[in-house]
Amino acid sequence: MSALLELRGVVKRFALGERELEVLHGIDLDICRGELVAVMGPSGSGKTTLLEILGAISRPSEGSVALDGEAIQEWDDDRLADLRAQRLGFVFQSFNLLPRMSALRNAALPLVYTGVRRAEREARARALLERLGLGHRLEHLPAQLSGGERQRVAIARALVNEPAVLFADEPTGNLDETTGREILELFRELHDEGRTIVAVTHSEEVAAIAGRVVRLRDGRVELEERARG
Amino acid sequence: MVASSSKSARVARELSRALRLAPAILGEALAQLRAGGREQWLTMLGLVWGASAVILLLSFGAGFHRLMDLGFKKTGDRYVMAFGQFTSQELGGARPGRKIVIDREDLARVRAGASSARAVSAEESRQVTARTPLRTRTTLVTATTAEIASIEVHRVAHGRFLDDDDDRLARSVAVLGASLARAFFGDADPVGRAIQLDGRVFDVVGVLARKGQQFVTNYGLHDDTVFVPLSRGQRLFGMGDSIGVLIADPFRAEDSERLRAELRAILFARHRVPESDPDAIGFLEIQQFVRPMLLVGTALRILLGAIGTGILAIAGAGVANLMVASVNRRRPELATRRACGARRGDVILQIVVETLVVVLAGGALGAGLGVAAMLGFAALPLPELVPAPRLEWSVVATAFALLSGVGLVSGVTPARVASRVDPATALRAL
Repeated sequence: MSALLELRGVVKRFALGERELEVLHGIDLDICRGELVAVMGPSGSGKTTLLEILGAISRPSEGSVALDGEAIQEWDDDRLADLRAQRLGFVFQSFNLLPRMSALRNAALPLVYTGVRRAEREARARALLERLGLGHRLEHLPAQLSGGERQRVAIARALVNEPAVLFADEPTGNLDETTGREILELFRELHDEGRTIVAVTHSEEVAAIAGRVVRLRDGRVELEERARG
Repeated sequence: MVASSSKSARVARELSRALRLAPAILGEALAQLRAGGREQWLTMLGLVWGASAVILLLSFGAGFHRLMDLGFKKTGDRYVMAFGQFTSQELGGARPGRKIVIDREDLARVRAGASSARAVSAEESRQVTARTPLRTRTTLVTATTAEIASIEVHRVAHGRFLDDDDDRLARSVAVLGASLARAFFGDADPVGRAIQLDGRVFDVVGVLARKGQQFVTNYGLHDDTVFVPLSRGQRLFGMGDSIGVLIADPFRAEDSERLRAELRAILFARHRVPESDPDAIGFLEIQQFVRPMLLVGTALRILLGAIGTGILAIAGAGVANLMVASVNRRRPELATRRACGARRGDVILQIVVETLVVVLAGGALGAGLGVAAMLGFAALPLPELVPAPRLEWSVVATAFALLSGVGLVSGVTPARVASRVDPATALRAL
């Protein structure tokens, strides 16, 4: 299987006052098409920083990142933004829905930045929301939705641009157990459809549905486990 | 070559992206505003006040300017007058102190020789006793020619003005100023009736439209004057061939000075006045009074406009402040937008549009109020010399330009704050 995302020798440093803090110390990692990969590790191990680099939100200080064989580590901010708009999807721990916008508008958000017309934006967002069981909640504001519903709106938003990779940051972290299981079930379905998913998590339950678990410790890949098959 | 063509291709690509995205980003900004909080509308109040103040101030400025302009235009704003005075030097045997008398021959020479003159006339005014069955009163009578109507901007309300035949045949006809017609004939139409001037009977052939207050009066208010043909007036006043004052209008106001020079050349030559005796014939250019007054009007407009701009700028600072606070509060939203593919420029555009919409909406509301207040003011029975505010398109355009400028400037700081929002914060605890 060819690698969809390919990290080689990725180092990430942050300026911390006068000192520099190195968070990632040379990560090599391949994410293959159709994989569901869980990135685990204790707090401060660099999970979120790794997710930022995988998700083209920030650039590595050293090393290379390739998406579909194309090196993106040197791309400027605008190109990375376009890449996120067109080919990547994000699900955040705190859902990050826009509080004053309806579920429909929230779900359609990435399409705003790819220049899709309004009618088509809304049609695509509506179709996804309906599929996720939110057909009756289209015009509700986030505050009027339950936690599980909010996360489903966020998932619809992450899928609306048909991304090559779906990134999830603690997707069940802010949900109760039952709702969390429902969301996990949804991720499993998406994976079964052949989507590529990278989830950062503390949760062993998330890890349990993953095909592969990457364990980070102190900014290094400590262990890679193949879980299912 | 390759580099430049790829650069222009990039520019074209960016431009087409901007055009494609603009409506969507505009929509996002509007949706955000529609859902916006109370403070947004409170901030608008500052703009409402600012914009209405600007409209009112500019309208008053325009009203004042117009009052000045019309005030001069209704009695003629460009004519040049020439009148005989006394020589101060001995000349060809004549003693100093000779009176220069402007006469018919001068009128004819100026008509023939002054190329910048559009119209030439003469004016002599005296107080006479006027009498009708209704009343008897001392009244100003002006002896003049048909051309004075266009020079002093007399409009006929009924009947007609004096014509060339009236002067040629020395007809005993009279045209009455509006107030005078009322005083002597009440509500009846004076045309076709008679009025006695120093015991001589004149037929009233016309009544002038009312002028109201005048900035300039050479003898008296036009509304209170009886106009008679020059030749008939010469006889009535017993002034021989003298025509009193020669009065000429240039084609354009800017030619006033040139016309004065032409009159001077013709009249000095005719009366053999040496250049060394410049005061033997007096000249008066009405433009010398009009120009400074209009300048005062313009200066006032600039001053009022500057005050209005100051008020708007303060309101704009309020908007900028609000928007910065709003952007700070909305960091998570903006970070999420960035993570979902918004470019830095897209976020900046959205914030600028939001600011501009707040400013223009508040401004439009304020402009509406300002216009309403102005119309209310204008509808009050103001004394004639108090300038009524006046709405001009230039006022609206100026206010709109000021508001847009304030809106854009107010958007700069919040947009810069917004542009610094890091998409990575979307992944961190919010």
